[in-house]
Amino acid sequence: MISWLSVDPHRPGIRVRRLAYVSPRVVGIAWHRDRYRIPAHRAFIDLARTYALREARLLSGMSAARGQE
Amino acid sequence: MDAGRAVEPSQVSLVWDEGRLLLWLMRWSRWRPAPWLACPRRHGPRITGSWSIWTPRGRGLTPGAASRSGSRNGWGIADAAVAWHRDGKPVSVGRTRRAIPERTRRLVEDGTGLRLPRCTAAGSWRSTTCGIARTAAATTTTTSLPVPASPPRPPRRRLPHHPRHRPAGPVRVHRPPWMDHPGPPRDPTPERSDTPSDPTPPRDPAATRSARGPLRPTPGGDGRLTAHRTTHPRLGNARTTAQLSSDDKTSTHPTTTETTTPLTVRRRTSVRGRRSRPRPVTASYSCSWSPSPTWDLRYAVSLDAVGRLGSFSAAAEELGYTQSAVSQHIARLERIVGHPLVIRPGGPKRVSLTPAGEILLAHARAISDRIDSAYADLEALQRGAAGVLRVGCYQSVGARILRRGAPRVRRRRPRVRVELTEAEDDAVLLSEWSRGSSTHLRRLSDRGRAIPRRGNPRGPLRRRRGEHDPLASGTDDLPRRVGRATARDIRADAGGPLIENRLARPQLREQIVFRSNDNGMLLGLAAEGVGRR
Repeated sequence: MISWLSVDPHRPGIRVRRLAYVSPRVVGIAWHRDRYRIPAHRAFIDLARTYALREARLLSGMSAARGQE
Repeated sequence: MDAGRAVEPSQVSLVWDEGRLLLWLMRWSRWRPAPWLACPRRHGPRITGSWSIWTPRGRGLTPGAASRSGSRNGWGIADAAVAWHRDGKPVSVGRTRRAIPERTRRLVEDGTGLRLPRCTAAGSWRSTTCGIARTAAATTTTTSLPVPASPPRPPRRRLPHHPRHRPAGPVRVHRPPWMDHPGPPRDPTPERSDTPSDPTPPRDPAATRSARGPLRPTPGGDGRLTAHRTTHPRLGNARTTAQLSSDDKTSTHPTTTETTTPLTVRRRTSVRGRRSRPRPVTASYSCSWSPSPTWDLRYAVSLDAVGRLGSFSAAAEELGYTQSAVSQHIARLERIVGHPLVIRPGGPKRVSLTPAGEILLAHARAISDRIDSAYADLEALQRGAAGVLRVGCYQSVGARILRRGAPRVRRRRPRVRVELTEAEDDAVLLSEWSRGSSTHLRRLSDRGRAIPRRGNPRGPLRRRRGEHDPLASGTDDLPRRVGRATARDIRADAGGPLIENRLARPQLREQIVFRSNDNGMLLGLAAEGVGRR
């Protein structure tokens, strides 16, 4: 058992199977809102959201494919 | 002294005392006056300069010996630095130079005078270094006044936790009456002639306080007392300056005039019961004292260091203070809060914190972390587009998200340095986040209500919900609402619960053949077929 984000589904030699009836582990991003933020801070948060959304879509696609099976 | 032997220097400071310079042999860990200084009024030397010398440890030193040694070995006089006065002008000692340790300064400044050990002379002498200086003038101003510029020192309270000083009853916090003194008025008081013809001569409270003791208003004098009280802009401690200046405008001494009340003073002696002949004194001195038991940031930092290191000396070494300074910080903090904070077993044993100390330590660390955060913010503001982006994350997040995001940030903003902190323990990430040093990618559960409130009454986290947040608008497997994790939730995971317990399936324990926190290792083992049936 390993978290989804730690798995490369395209890695040869392994096959990824999702666990059923397991609530997903949600990862969020947190920062101090009363702290000064450099411009790179906002850029980094946007990038993190972008890649997180990609992962979510990838996971959704895998779920749909698994449902079709 | 052997010229080729490395010695740890101690410090010799000379303190002006109404024409006399008292020689103090200051050591880093303790001070010990030379035997011939047992009673400086009787046996002390008369020196016409003011300087400090670095001497080898464990070596008693007389001024003559210092001069001879300095000239012989090439140290000492040549390396002398002004400690208290330079040509009669006050010199800021400062905390970094530490020309005069705080203990000595406190003894001198609090107006109670000091007595050297082994001084058994009848009617012992009393220090007047905190007094008022007189500007040399060609007029008849010939007074030399020992006027305490600080309120009388409260009786020393013995710490209740000390085994020898433990009282039988409950702990009482002494609050001397001068702490409640309203202080001098802010508006300048016009000058008035304080003569006997005036039936009700108004008195300035500050001048009255400063004139307490040796100062007495008498008619016919021309001295002027200037009492001044300011507050340090950074540390907040009050500073009282008292100067006596004549009408001679050619005086080179700075005169701080906020509240000016002309007082005619009568000369008093520095020795109780004795009078000293008038002597031109060209030194002035301003002393600092704490008017109320206010919290000092240094106290919090010292308590934090003592709590972490378990030693006063180690804390002093880390903070750059002397051990006595750290001890004073803790002692003052104990007086302020009214509880013993540190258990001092004595000897080489580690000191430990009392329950009250543990509670206060948590707040002290929060304060210390907040100061670090303030410095980090100011540094980031100063650097502008550049700076450091500190990110703390799980290993899995770093493998999939930060692996792509961080290089892109660096390509777009080459002046920004990305620092990544990786931890699997929620408590570690939470601790880093609480210190305000990182932006954290971490778990947000849908339970609980708020992140611990530290410094922000509304809570430091802002929850993003709805379809606009990609993290919250994922697939059906992901919750649509990302709530906030509570500190209890996060810290409950700090012990590293087993994965089967986290999944609420203890029966999986029999199927687990290998445990590791390294995801790469797990993937490699799976690729090699470990655990395959």
